[in-house]
Amino acid sequence: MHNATEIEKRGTPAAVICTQPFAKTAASMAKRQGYSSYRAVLLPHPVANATPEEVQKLAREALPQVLEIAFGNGFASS
Amino acid sequence: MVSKPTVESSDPLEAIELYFENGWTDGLPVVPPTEDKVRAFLDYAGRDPGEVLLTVSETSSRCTVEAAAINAVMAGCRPEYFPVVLAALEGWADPRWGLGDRNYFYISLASTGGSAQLLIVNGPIRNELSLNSGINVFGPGYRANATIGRAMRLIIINVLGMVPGLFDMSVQGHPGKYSYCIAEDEEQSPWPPLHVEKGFAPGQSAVTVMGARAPVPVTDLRSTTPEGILSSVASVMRVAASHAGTIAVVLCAQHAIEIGKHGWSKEQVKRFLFERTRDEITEVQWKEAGGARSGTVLDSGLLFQEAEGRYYHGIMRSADDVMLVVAGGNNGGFSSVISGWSYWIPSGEYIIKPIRAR
Repeated sequence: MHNATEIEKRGTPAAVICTQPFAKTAASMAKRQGYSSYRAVLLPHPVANATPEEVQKLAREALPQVLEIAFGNGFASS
Repeated sequence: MVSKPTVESSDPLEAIELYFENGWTDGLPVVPPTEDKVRAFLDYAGRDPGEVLLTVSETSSRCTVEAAAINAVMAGCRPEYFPVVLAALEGWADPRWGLGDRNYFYISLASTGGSAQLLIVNGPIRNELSLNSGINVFGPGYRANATIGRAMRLIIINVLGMVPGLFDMSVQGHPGKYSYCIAEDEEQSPWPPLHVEKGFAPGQSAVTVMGARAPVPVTDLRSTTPEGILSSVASVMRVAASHAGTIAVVLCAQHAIEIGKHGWSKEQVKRFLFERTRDEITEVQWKEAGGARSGTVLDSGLLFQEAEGRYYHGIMRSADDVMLVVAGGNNGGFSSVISGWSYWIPSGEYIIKPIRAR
């Protein structure tokens, strides 16, 4: 998350994808970096051991949220 | 962002409860850090309270001398322990941690992999502070060991913001996260101590820091030769290794003395362990692992290397990855292997800082 906030501060749109158990971590880190309204794209856990086909499916499902966060109103600085 | 919230209370026992309620503890009661107690630590160290020792950009946090003093009081330290805490913080700030990428230090505090922060103390300060290097070295009973290690964890939680379950996301963690501070038994070791190995004078006290997993026991009550003891150590190293890199071998005094009787140097010990933890493979296996991409690390944590026309996979970059320490009593054949986590440092270098006398 701190990587995404750094990238955003440099003017490049960024979105963070993380798995469910890290939702609170991501939100707290965003707030700590000055982006209290930021939300991450949340995926079910775990992803690390998903098959390539499962990863493709998750990516397709996550894409609309990623685009909205990176280019829409999802990443408002506070 | 440096905040210094305070509580007001006329009753120390009530203050202890307030610190629990505010989430400022490691789960155990803390000593309420009154201004006069903190002042005593600052006066002892003789350092500027506002001096920044460590910055963690990921959580926008900085640890000043004063913040360290507050948490050292909370941990139950005496003022004379404080220079050890300061030197350890300087170790954590060393740019070699992460081989140029400081994110690795943050990861050692945050990662699901779960390292604790090990401190190894050398030099005369061990005796001055009654730091334990013998029986029960990883266990309880000695104020300096217990509270110095604890001060580091309280700093991590309260100053660096690494609250367990929020930013510290270790899947299981380990008990070393309460306190993980040992002294080396220089007196019973047949070898130069850790700090002398790295060019410090024997009379200069120093502390070595490491992002460390839990000790994995080496049980060898039978062997009396270096080969016998170190074969047992090598077997455990294969299991205990995490990612190929620095790995600590903590030999109890009994094992170290036995090896020393046969005249083996530290270099010989490290060389033996390096060669006994790698396996030779065929050129075909080498190519399947990526061929000329020397140093391919697979999920197993194995490092593939080519040396003098032969191919191997092992758990270390070189024999210099072994950090050899002597600690634990001369009363049984139990040693330990401690692997790192997110502890990337140059092979053969230790992150070791002088403990400054006042």
